Amino acid sequence: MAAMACSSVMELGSVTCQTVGNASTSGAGRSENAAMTRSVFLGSSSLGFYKTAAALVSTPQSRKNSQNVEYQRRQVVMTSDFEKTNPYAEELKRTAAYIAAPGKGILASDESNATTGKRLATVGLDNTEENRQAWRELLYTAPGLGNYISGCIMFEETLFQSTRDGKQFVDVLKGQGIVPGIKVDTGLQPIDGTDGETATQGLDGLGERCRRYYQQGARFAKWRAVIKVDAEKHPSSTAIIENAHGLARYAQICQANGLVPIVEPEVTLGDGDYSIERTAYISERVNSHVFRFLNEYNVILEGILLKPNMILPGLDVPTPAPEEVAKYTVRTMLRSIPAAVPGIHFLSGGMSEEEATLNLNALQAYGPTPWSLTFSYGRALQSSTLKIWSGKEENWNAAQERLVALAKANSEAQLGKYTGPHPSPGGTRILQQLRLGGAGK
Amino acid sequence: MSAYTGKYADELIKTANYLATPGKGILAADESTATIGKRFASINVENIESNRQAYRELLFTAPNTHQFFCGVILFEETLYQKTLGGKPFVKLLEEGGVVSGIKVDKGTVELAGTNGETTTQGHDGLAGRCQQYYQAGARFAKWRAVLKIGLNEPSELAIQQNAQGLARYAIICQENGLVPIVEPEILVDGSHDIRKCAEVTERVLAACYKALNEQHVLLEGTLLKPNMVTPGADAPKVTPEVIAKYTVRALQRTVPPAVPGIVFLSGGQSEEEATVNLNAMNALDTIKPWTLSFSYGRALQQSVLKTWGGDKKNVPSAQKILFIRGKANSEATLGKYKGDAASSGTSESLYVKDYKY
Repeated sequence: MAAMACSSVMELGSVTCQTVGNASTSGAGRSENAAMTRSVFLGSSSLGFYKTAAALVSTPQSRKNSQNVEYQRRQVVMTSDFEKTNPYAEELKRTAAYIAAPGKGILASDESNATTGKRLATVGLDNTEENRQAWRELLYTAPGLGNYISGCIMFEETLFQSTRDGKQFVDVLKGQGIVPGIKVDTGLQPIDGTDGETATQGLDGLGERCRRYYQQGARFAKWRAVIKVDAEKHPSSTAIIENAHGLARYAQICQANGLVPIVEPEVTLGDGDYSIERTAYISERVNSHVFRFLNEYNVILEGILLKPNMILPGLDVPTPAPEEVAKYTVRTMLRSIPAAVPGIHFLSGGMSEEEATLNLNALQAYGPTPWSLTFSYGRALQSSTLKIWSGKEENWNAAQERLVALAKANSEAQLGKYTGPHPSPGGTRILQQLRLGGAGK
Repeated sequence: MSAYTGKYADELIKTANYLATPGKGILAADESTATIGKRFASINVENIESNRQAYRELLFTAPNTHQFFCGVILFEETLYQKTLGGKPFVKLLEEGGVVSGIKVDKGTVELAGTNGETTTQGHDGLAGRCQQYYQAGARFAKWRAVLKIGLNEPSELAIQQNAQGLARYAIICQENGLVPIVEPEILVDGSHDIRKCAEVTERVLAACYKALNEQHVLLEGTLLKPNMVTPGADAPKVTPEVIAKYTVRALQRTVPPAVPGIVFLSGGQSEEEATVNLNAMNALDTIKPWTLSFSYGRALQQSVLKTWGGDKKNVPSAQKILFIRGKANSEATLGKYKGDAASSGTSESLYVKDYKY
């Protein structure tokens, strides 16, 4: 079992397996606060999933005798049975810990073809495969990106694409020390009988797709659930339960097939003047449902990442100061996220590029926290990058520099060390309409 | 709409934080009249009020022990009792920096259709009682839910009922100024291994925190009183380090960091075991966003009771034992216990099958 787990780790870097029981130091982690150092038992390694020479793998459990196996079948399979029988358990924990490393975050570039088309259109580009490929090549080959980005979420088409020179994108990313990830949901569907609330689809055949993505080199996945909020009526209980269930089932299937699930319960920034307290309360409630279901579905929490919204009031309320956002956001996380989760990667969800960085930086003042507070940004890393490129070869380098500068600013913010000036100062909220009925195209 | 933000919110948070002070813990002295009767019977002491008063006075006046206890849980009768000199126990404890707490549940009843599973009662008139207890000086409360491990237990029904009961109790307490200690005890009875106990503990705690969220309980103003994760009483023993790892991992997976303190029950562990296991947890190098401390009844009182034997002249030596155990557990909350409080009697298992109290 140990050998199998090791060979399923990516080939880059030398990974040797040691049995648990060696009290080796797990290196970096949060060295600035000894109380936060993760133990060997939790199987962390923030020294680099690819570069570490001491990946810690638990000794495989011996097979139970037939009598015990029979006994087990009569019981509900619970968390630690799943951990025992899941050959990916240790790898999941290591990958999650690597992605949640201090000073790092995730680049979310998993826009579906339809959504990508809309973005390309803003700079006058047609939605062709060639243009989509060129745009992602610009992002992934940006020199030095791997200093600040530990994971990159891709859309299915992109996972199988290559650079113009023929190098697979997954290899480009691995070369930068960036773990490839894959969006696996197939879009939003309305929940009939509700007023504009949605469920996320994509469970059918998910196991099979996960296996294919794992083969290709993906090691984590993402599924976006969207919860609509207003001052009084939304979200309904139905919407919360439906979305929490979808997330938990998705997470379980991913873990069974070797992918770390990013659990994304987005309480979406919307119209209205609902207060920041309202968003905080709804987010706590949603998270509570999500974690109850994750427990029910035997998801190994050390092997997931969370991608929540920061706590913001409705669009008709003036943008709050970063300190206020930080206070409510950290309080919400403390009230609802168990310590076993290694990293919380906030979505940018409409915040301007600068706002996203300032808010992230402000969060760190409320630490230390048991999970890292970091980013998984799409629009907040790509908006101005795209504008600078505008499809023109001569702008290629400048666009890449912008991307890396944005990533660096957010990396500094993750460490609580961001001072500015921001590469894209000012800027308005970057909002997008919720697309319904997508089948992941 | 959010977690409780009424008039007691700040006080609840302050009290809960105080009850989670590292280096201190809680003395659980809330045995009901019937239960203390059983204890007294084991040392041939008559179960009359004056004896109950004398025993509790022994505990609360033990010299130099107040430094180890941030709180004491009392039974209703005791809340209103005084020392022989006429000072209310609550006042005496307060002067020593010890907060008085009160057991508010009314025991367990069986759930029909289950294999002996129970739920806990006590919600009726609870708000009024909490107000009275607050008047009398109590600032925290305790409610014990009980679950057991078996082939098909705990059932979903038992988990839900007990989680809901705890959550309802918790919010009523907070509305009336008392910090609720949430106690979902999973009995140690059985021959299951430690893994099974971990699974069940995680499942139960996840359900509890979901229910607490539903009821708008202010987590920063609560404490958790769980069992440690151990093998069943009839299963082979494991080392304190193993207990520590499984226990802390279960808590990391279920207890939100907003909860300031986790105070373990001792269950059927011997006095020494309870100390050593707590010490191992605090010595463990891992993420622990809450204080890990004790709320021990039997594991603090067993030897004290035996030494007293109902005899006035044994009071000083009995009090000395409370000091020794108090100090040992205080050190254990800091991961600094050296094992020097072990002596004859303290390793005696206090396990009672199908424990009811």
